[in-house]
Amino acid sequence: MTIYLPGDVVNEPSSSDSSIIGYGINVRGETKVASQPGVYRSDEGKMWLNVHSKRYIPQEGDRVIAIVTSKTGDFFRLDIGTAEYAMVNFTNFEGATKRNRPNLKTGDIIYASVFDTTPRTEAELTCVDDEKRARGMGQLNGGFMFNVSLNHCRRLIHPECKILQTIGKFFKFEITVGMNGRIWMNAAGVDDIIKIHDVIVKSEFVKEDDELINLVQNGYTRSVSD
Amino acid sequence: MVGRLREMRCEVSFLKNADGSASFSQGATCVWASCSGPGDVHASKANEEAMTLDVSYRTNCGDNKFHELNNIIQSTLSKAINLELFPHTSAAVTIHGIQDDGSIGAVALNGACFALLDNGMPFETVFCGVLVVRLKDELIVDPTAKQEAASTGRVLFSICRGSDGGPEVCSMDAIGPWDFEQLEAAWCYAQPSARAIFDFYRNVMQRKHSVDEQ
Repeated sequence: MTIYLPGDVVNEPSSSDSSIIGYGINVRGETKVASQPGVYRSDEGKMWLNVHSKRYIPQEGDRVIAIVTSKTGDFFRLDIGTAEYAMVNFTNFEGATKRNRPNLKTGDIIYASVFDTTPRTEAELTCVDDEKRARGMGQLNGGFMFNVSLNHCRRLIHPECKILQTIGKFFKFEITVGMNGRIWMNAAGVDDIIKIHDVIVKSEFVKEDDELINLVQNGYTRSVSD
Repeated sequence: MVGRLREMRCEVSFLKNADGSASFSQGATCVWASCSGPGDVHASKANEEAMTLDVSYRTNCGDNKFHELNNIIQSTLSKAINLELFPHTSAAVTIHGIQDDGSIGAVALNGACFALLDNGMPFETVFCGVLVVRLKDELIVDPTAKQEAASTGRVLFSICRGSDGGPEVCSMDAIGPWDFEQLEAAWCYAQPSARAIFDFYRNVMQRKHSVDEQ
């Protein structure tokens, strides 16, 4: 594991054949300079830094969880945790037409993907893919939403991460993880939601598998009222 | 000549509600620093070309509207951060002096850098602060409050890491009479300390990122 701080020259043996320079690395002439603190990662000709952060900066293609804050004309104004609000056109929902508008109110939560992040403008979101299918995106009904750090979100949905699998052995729940650090989930009862929330938040700094299983087991057996 | 830094301790992600924060101490001098941003900005403060940087140093008591440390922290931060990357946003950097046992300016700068590193915001280079005082024609790096009070001159270096990895003066605040040779000598003493602080940044961040070793 190599850590880079802003201003460090990225000098990795595999970096010469990397054609795609990703997050956290700036190219200045011949040299590559880190612009954010993070751990070096490379995969199939791509290189990037894994940055730990709590503040989301929108990137095209990210799936995020957004809160509807207002309705202006053809757009819903959304809070995705960035400096400025994001927008979603009401036709970018599955089954929506000019006549048939989606029925969203202020405070509703939607799962959407970012498709336009032109600088100096508001980010634009969509709830449908290129075939106009929702594929899981759209409004999230009921449940509970909370924030964790961005790297914890990325870790949770990593295929090799055991956290959600382990929780799944004890609880029955559904979960949506947004890349902007928001997690929405729903379970059978309020008690289960509280327990799962606790486990997810506490698992952020847990590395070992045994420790993780203990954490989930403790969360499962303790009662919520104490 | 005393050229040693006191023991440094740091805990990052210390404050729950800030995007990035740190509790940093050097000897008995301690600060809490937080950095939130890039975030929403009030229309009257918004700048269409660059990020608005809101720096405030706060002491435990008294009027906290203005503080002489704000100037050097503000100028260091605006050099370290490429403000044009995030126009029409603001970043708030708040440093709270918890306990002052000398070199509070240097500790505040180091704390601010830790808060920025914890935030994960893009910036150009890491920076640190080193205070050097002159006490009876002797130069002391990172003095205690007692040494600082008895000193005849003090100079606070705010140091950026240059492109070659070595320390470079970013800005500086000198009090008392200093001639050129003395300043040069003070700078020579500050450089190894700056290197030690940069290494400390790396160690702390390494520990923070050790969670995704898998």
